[in-house]
Amino acid sequence: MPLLQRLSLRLRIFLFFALIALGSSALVIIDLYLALQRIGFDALPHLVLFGGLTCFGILFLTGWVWQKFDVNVANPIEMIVKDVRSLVHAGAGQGLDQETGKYLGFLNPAIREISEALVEARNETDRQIAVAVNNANKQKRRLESVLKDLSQGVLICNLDHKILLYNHRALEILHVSGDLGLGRSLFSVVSAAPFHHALERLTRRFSEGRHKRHKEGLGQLVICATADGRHTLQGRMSLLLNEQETSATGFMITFDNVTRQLAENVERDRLLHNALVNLRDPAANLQATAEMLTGDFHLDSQTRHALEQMIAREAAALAKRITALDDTAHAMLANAWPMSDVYSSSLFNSVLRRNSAESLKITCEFIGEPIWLHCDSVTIVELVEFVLRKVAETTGLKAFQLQATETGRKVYIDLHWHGDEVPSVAQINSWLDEPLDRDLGEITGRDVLDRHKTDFWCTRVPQGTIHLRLPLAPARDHHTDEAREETQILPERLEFYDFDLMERTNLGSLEDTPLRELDFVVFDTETTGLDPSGGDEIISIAGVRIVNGRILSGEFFDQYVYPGRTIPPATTKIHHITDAMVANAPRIDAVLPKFQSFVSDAVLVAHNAAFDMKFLSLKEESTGIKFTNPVLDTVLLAAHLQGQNASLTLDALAEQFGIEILPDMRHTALGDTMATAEVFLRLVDLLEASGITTLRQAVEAENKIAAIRRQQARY
Amino acid sequence: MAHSVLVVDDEPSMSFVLEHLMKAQGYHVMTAPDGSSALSSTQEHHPDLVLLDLSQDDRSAYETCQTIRATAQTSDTKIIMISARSREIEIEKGLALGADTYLTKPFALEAVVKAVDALLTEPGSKNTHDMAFG
Repeated sequence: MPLLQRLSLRLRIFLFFALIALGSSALVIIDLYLALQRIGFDALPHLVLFGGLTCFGILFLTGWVWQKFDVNVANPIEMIVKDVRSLVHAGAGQGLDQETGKYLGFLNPAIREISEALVEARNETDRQIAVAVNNANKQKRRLESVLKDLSQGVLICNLDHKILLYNHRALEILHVSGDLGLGRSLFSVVSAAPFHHALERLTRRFSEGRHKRHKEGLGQLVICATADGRHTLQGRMSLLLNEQETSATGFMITFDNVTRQLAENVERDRLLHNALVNLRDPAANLQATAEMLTGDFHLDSQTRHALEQMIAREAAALAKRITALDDTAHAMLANAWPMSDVYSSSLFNSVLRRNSAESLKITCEFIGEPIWLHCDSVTIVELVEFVLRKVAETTGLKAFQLQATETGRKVYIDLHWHGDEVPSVAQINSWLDEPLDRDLGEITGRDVLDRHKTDFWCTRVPQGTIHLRLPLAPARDHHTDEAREETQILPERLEFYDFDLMERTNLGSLEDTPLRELDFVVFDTETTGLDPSGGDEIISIAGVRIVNGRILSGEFFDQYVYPGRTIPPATTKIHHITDAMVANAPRIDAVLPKFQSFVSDAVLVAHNAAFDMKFLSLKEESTGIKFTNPVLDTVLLAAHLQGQNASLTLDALAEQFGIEILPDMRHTALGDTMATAEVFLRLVDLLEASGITTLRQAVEAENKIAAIRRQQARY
Repeated sequence: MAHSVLVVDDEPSMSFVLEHLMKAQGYHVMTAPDGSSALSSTQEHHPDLVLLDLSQDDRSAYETCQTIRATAQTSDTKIIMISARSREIEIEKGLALGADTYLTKPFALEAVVKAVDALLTEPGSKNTHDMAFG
């Protein structure tokens, strides 16, 4: 009965009553016809009259009952159905009024109760979702903060070796050898062979089920070199499984730069060996002399005196060698810390973030200049935060100052406060025996100090304040002001991970890959003029990556280029780049290889791409760098969507899409790149809405517009 | 009147040597085997100088040093810390907590004599670590 089911309830009931009325009338007519045959056709006029009246009566009665049924039952039921539907789908239902639903018995009140219960259940679910989302966000922030402060580098990759996550430390260790970025190949930064080998072993171990009893489970030690071969990395690769633990989805690597450590191990072995040899001699002499003196040898007084002199001499020699050993050993121990350089301001900020995370109302002012130091920032942050909390609890104070000072050999972290009583050594020792944080396991403050080969103490300083002084090692590497600026430029919340990449399979043919899944590098160049063939040159080039539909603002390329000629004042007026600004910049043949490495196999996007690509192609011969990547042009794509007559300048498109370009960033390569990237993402939305979802379709649309433009240019 | 020296040492042999060394220099010598008896002895007898050698228990050595320095009646007492712990951080902590001199083991007896003489005859010389003997 599919047709009937499609009809409304009221119509179906009407048809039902109509059927009864017509059926009954038909029966009456048949009965009268049969009666007519028995009693003869003389009775026809009477039978027609009675039959007519009866049929009319049946029709009228059925019609009346139907009308009552429709008003009081069918219509209210339909209203209730509509109401329940709107409640289920739109989350709001009115319920029937008492009058309309009075003949439905308990149905109407029951529906009302169900509505109320549903609304309440929905509200409760919403509340629980809000709490869960909040918790998830908290954990996410916590994870980000831990990853950020971790002293080891962390990378997570999918099975195609594409990077899904990296932390600050990984960036620090690996940026020396190439450009690390989300969605890019791991092997652009490290040598491939050790990882292929480890991954193969792990996947085999997993597929054969041996990982369950293997002492390393799904982990494996990996030692490899950075892509440029300058650094040695030691780490651990672990296989990551899907939720059902039935197949591998990727792998995680935690690693350290052990180049220096390896050299130090060699030096330590040498020291230990020499120490043993150097101490054996005087120790043997002392032992022999003492035995001679105390044994039963009947020595005369002259011999005894000579032996006593020898003991004094050998003891002095032993003491001297121990002292010499001491100095070397201490210098070496200080160097053996497997830690990293940290800027004191970021350390203090982490302390404060932990502090606010614990919702303590402690204020902490940072005084003095920030300094680079060498430590394991995760545990030092925990320790300083812990001690801050302890001092606050003991003294009842809420206001503190944190300062880092440098003496050349050491960096001091000083916590200052105004108070009456200096915490005693005994009290500090009792703090240090407590575990720091449940997330760090049973690690105590003493463990952290021992690991850093340091200690701390409290004293009253001449200015009347009390300070708690924690000495740490100074930075190992020379960090220039430039490096500081670089650290400050980095946005607080970089895009360090994108787990959606986990689902990606090998791209294979880019053409049929949905636009959303492609990696793009949006780029822009600033030049000395508009005539690449006439000798104009690139003076600035910038690019930014888009992965999984997100602009990775932390992964950008921005480089001035020395053009080997002067910049005409007319163009300087536009981009504000002067000869002085590019005087010390690298030449294009040094910049393009780096830019190509940054671009990798991404799709190139530019506003009026033909212009920029022309400049790049003219350099192919001299630099040997050829960009064969697919190219998309935001001008052509916008023309396809909005027509040739629309205003297609970057400013016009940005304004149309509500994208703000800061005035001082407009006509800088990086500023224009960022704006183009934003415009491009909006265009991708519109392209999808118009049915263009793959790279091939986008290129085809672009080519049509380009052909039309070429035609127009001809006339 | 001869200066008084309190020898605090938890090793009997070193205590024996230091006690006789100080006596040989003409000082009035008292001894204590641990931190708490050292504190009660300083409270009671107010020695001019404490030779503090608690190598077995460095926590107690730092605590004793800090307490002697922080107690009003004994805050002027000279303190020489003697320890086998020779890391720079340990020396710095000892000096920060109030020791006038920090001597690291092994040392020549002459070094102890010189350090004690220097502190008792030149009241201005505070907070030094004689690295020549360290």
